[in-house]
Amino acid sequence: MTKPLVGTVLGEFQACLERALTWRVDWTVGLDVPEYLDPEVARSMGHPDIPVPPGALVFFAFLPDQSWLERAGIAYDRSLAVRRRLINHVPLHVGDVVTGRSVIGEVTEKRSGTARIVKTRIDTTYRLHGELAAEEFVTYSTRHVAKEVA
Amino acid sequence: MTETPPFRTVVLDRERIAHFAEAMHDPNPMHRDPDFCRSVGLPGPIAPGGMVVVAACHAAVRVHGIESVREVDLSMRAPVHVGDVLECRLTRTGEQPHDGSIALEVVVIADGDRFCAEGTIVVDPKGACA
Repeated sequence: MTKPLVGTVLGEFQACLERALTWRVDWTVGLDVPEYLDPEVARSMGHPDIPVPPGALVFFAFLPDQSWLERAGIAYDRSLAVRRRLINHVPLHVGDVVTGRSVIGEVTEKRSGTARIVKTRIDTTYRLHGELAAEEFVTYSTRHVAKEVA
Repeated sequence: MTETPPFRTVVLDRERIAHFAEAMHDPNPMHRDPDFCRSVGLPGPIAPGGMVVVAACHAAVRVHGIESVREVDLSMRAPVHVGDVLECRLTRTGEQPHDGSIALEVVVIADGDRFCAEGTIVVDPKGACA
């Protein structure tokens, strides 16, 4: 497995925030705010369209493929997302076209018994019309037997 | 001071967990493949962490407004299983007089008594993020 390196770019993307994504997020969690469901209600409340619920953007939804997993040293049979930090700068709405970039922001290692635990933080920026709209920091914890980490 | 009421999700059944993972293009088989889950010691599919984050943020949205969430920092402590209902409890821990932002502690409990996540949320009741 590749050892993750700080600064590695995992991908760049441009994506339109679609209504279907927002509605599915609303339905699956049971969000109960009418502005999330009806664009007319949202507009009557002063929004240009349905607001994207906070937390509904995840970097891997936008990366073009899954090659980031290997480069970030993440394997689903031994990795877990253990921490997620988001900073919202600008409200996002359905129809917005965001650009983004994901990089490996931090890698730490520690020993736990016979294994090593590698924590990899993936930092993603989301921009709207060139302006920083949101920042996302997702930390994965991956358990290795000692010989797998060079 | 606990903010009321806590937000409770719907029952996070297998269909909703799979739909959320699909909407996020989440390739992790832990969210949909029971055989894979058993192979790594889980009793069945678990919810994506994103569902927990969305639910925690919504607890703040319901109290402070739809564009109020400026920052959230959530650590996952235990998996969320099929059939769980999440309860997101907020406690106000501070206020910044210079900008009016409010710091909240958030705790996410599954199925009434299982501690799943904890962290902080900073809200700006005036909205429009930072």
